[in-house]
Amino acid sequence: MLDVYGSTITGLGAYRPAHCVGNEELAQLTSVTPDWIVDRTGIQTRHHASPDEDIVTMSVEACGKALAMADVDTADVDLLILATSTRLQRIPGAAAQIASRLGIPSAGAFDVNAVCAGFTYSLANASNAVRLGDARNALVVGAERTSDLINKDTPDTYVIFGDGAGAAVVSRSERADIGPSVWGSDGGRHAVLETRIFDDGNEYVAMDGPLVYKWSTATMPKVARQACERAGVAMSDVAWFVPHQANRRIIDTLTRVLGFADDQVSRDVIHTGNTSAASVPLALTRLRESGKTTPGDLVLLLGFGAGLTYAGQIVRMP
Amino acid sequence: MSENAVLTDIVRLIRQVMPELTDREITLDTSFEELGMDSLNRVDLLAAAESEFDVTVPDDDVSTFIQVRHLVDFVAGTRVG
Repeated sequence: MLDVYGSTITGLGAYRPAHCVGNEELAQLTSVTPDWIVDRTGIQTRHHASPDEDIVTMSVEACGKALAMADVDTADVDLLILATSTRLQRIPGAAAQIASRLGIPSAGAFDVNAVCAGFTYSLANASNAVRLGDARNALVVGAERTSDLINKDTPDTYVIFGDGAGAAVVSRSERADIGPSVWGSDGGRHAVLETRIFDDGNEYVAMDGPLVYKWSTATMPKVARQACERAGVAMSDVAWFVPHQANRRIIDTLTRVLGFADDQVSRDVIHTGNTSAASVPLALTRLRESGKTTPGDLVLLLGFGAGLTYAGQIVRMP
Repeated sequence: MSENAVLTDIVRLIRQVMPELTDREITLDTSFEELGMDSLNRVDLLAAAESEFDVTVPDDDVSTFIQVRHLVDFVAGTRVG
């Protein structure tokens, strides 16, 4: 009755909006300097989507590239999960539209809102669906338009966040290349990073940066170690660390605490900013495209952020 | 643990977090801002103090540590023995 398969990532794809925004441009709009932005966040550029680069169109672009790399026909995709928290239209979810635009005839399709951990949560669900036979191939895409939810009068969020989409194809495999996920939440701390209605009547992201930093640097090393234990691998066997691209300071602290060398760690945040649910697949795609990785390399993925939510797992690089 | 002993340990932790402060005198009245510590450096110091003294800084208190004295008082008042 119960057949359990393996699962593996067979394709990756990224879409970054055309408009790349530098620190000089942002500094002219805000009360902070380019040096302040780099010192606090490490970010040098981020992308802001134009009106026609919406969640659906960016996702379609990223998914199309991931499918091409995987060499998977759309007729063989049975599930599409969209991780997003910034789509302003609440109903319907966008996953079904992405599937239709891609020409996927009748995939299961739903949205996940686990904010910055959305991709790693969704990857876990896609892997489980493939392993249990509910899907032969699944598309997982993280896509965000955070620029719709930031304002220049709140520079600590305005300079950090960016837009984009990153996708992965999860396919049935003889090997279990996607390890068990370690996930969790702390809803008692929801207020440290959430959207609120500001004085102008609009909804924007509000963040207590020091508390986010304190929580993530205190909590995520344990999650990372558990992800390795559950996958049966030693941390020293992990070739690459791809954490949520929150800001460079968090990434540097996690890198030091976990004992990775600097050149093992993705820092796509420098070029792409914090793209919430899109950050892990964007960083993973850029890392693979750098040519430094080898198929089969062990990668530690670690998503964490608003909720508070987190999920991490060990995967093999396609 | 006396206030002086806690201060000595806290100063050591500050120098670990901010190694560039080699010769800078640090007293109870020194503010973290004077030492060039931004909000994230201060969180690093609080995390180091939590680990060193086995204490937990409540979220609501994180922004209240302005001077070295505030952290020394917190540790001395929280830690038993």
